[in-house]
Amino acid sequence: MKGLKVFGNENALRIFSLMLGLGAWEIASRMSNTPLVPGPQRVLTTLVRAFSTEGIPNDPTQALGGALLSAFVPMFVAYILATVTGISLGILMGINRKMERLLDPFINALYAAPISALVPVMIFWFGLGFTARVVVIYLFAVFVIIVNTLQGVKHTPGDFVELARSFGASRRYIISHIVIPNAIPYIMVGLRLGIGRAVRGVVVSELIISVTGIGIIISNYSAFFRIDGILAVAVAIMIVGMLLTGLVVLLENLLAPWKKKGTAFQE
Amino acid sequence: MESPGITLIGQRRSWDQTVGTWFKAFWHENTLRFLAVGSAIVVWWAASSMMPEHYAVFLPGPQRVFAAIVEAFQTEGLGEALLGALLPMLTGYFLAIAMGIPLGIIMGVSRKIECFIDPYVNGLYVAPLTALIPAMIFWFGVGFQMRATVAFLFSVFFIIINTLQGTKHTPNDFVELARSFGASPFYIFRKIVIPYAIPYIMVGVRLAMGRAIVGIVIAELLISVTGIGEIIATFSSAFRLDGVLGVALVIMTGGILLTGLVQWLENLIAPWKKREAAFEE
Repeated sequence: MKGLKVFGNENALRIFSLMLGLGAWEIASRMSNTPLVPGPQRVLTTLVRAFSTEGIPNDPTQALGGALLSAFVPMFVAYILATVTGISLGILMGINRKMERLLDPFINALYAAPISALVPVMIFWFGLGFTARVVVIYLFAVFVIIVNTLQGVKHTPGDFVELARSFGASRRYIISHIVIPNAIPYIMVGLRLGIGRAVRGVVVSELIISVTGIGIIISNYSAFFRIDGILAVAVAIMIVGMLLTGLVVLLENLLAPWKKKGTAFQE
Repeated sequence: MESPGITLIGQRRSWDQTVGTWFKAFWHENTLRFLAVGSAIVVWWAASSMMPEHYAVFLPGPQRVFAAIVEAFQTEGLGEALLGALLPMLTGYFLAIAMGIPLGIIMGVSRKIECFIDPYVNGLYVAPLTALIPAMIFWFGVGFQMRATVAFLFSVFFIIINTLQGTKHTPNDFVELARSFGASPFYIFRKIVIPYAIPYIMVGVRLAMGRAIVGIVIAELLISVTGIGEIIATFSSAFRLDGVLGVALVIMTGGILLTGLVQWLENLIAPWKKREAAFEE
């Protein structure tokens, strides 16, 4: 934007600030000398050690790597389900007014409501295993995808549709050649927001259903007053979450490089 | 809602005419919605009453859920528990507003300060705050302070980021115009930057309300020794889905109402430029 020098200076400032912050945190934790304020160095070593089972107190069956993997498998299933059903429902609602009116009371309500409140209900219905997690994560992710797809379909420029119609295009042609391509950037925004929500869904379901995986690792650390462990798990989840979001953004730029700005529908 | 009809200039319409047209438009717009919600409740009721005795516990009907909600308020103390969640939530939320807006403005005005702070803001913005709740229980206990902190942390970054976006997106033309007429930086700040940022700030304030609610709900669910979490745990251990579902419905309705209230405030305070203002989640 403003040349390499300015860019370098700004990032230098960021790095300086981070070093200052981490340094202050490290010093503060060493001075306070309680396990309640672990420094960054301890968190990092704990994070590394958590990937082998000896690093985690109370000898769980899984190390952090396996726990992350088993947490993110239901996420992939749920996210793919949410993508497929969310996009199709959004398009259906967008091209059919009656369908929209029939469904939008439920979708708007569930979109605005805190889904986490439903986790205990889902435990009741689906138990503590794979299915419950998939359902919770699906509910976290699907509504933002529906709402964004719907917005995209509804924002089809009327001029294009009229033009196509006056040249005798069929409804099907208009939908497949104008409506859907126009909606793709919006859909991609929905998918990006959806992956963020899905990651949150993973964390919430893991913590509330804390019988296996990440949840049990965190509660083991808690039981031993190991705040460094809790922070380490949070850092690990954060890194995985950022990688996943980055992947979707990459996909977004690949599939819908046009109209990147200004298309976003706010949450 | 669609416009209820066209009134030509000079044409007077009587009150009941206006109400009549409005009602017709409202009905036309919403019949299907009422039908959908109504039939969903009927289907729910029918399905639950046709359930065989053994499985009835898994699908309590609307009348039983309603009775359980009444019971939760009367004997389980759901009212106090809701208040006990609402007060710290609002405390954290208002603290987030009071801190987030000035911080966002400062970051928007000075590029250096922005670069200095944004690694933290962006880092914590993407951090899984839910996973930090167990740590916060160690630091702040399970009471008011901890809940307020959770609500604060869940909401503050949205406000900072949106305020920052609004402050940064002030159109340069306006600033230059004002400057060439000799306006002082403070004047520009007060008359151009701030009014321009207000819709963005309001979007941040609205989204932050949603986040604060999410945060407090998760905190309540994780702390099953007091408050709403305790009520849910009581119902759960008695294998009473009607109670669990009832409490969940109450919480969700509360969340929707609060978000709606903030949305209404947003339209009141910053009705202009509602569309483009948004910074998406």
